[in-house]
Amino acid sequence: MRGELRRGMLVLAVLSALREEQYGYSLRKVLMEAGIDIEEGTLYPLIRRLEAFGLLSSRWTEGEGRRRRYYKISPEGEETRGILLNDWDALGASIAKLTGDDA
Amino acid sequence: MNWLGRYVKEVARYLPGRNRNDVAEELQSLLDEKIADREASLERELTDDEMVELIRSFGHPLKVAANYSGSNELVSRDLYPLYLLVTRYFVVSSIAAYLLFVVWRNLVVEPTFPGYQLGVAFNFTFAWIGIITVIFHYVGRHIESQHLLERWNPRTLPPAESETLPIAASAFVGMLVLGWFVALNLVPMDHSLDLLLGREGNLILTFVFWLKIQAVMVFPVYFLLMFMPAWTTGKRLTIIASDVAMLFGLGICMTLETPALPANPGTSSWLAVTAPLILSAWMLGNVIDIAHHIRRMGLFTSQVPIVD
Repeated sequence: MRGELRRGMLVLAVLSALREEQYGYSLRKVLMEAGIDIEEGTLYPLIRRLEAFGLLSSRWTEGEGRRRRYYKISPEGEETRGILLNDWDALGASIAKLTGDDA
Repeated sequence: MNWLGRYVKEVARYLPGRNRNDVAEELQSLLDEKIADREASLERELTDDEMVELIRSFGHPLKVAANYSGSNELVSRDLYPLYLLVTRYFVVSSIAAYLLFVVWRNLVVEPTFPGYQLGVAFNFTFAWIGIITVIFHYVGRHIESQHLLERWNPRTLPPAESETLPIAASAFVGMLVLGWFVALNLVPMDHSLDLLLGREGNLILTFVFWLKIQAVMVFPVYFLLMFMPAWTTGKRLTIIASDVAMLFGLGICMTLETPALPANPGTSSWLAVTAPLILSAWMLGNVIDIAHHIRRMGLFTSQVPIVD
């Protein structure tokens, strides 16, 4: 049950974190600092899928002796993020109503 | 020991071809970062055991590759219940058709052991399950890529008063016809025009040939009825056409002599009596079916036809 809830908000979390350009490993750190612990085996494929959907753009760079693939949210990604954020706020308000009634 | 290289190579083995190298390179880069981070915090190189544990925690190569592969459903969730129904009915009807075939052959042609042509029936049945699975896979992908279920228009629903076939019924009949086709294909024969037109003088094989043609025409209608359950004019006309074709074939069969069956001489006289009866009954059945569909289409009656 908890996994389902987490899976539902991962895309929003990743799109939000990638408003600043990151590479996979640094993105995971950013998410963990925000309290979202996600398995690398799940995060990295998710980033590539979001890129395949056109929500992210990427580029390879050379630095510090290694190649890194940096990702950043695209204009379509921003649009999707906006929609997801609205959905999230609406869901939060609904849950607050339901849990408020139970209290 | 190059653990990283071994791991990335193993993951890459299961990745789809088009992105394989790109994904493998990125994976290598990410794992390099992770190792560098750990070594920086420990202020030393990782031991062999620590390296193995780090890789193990990343995930089994199959699982990681599967995550990169996107959709992992052979049949989409939306179509799965229908797919299950169809394959279940198909297996049941194939078994029934095979048993009928063995009984028929035992009674009419020659004494037949129960495992006769079982291998052929088995292969044919499971080949068709594979074909059905592939069809459902591509239909599901098409539905998903075109967002057909999201773009669904309630105006395309058939009128409440229109005649529809329950999904279970269309799946059952459809798979019965397919199973019937499986059984008919167990009869060894050359599919020649001469045989079809009765010029080879073989009543049984000519009859079977026309039955196959009818099955091939009928099956798509019932397959379509599973997804679009309303009886449209087109579907009815296809069934009528199959009945007309069968009547033509039966007409040809009626001109042929009942064959002698040297392998099972005791049934020869029995067949001589029953063959015309079977052909006549089949003819009558087709005529009744044609009349039923014509009536449903509202032709030659004052009944207002159900709107397509």
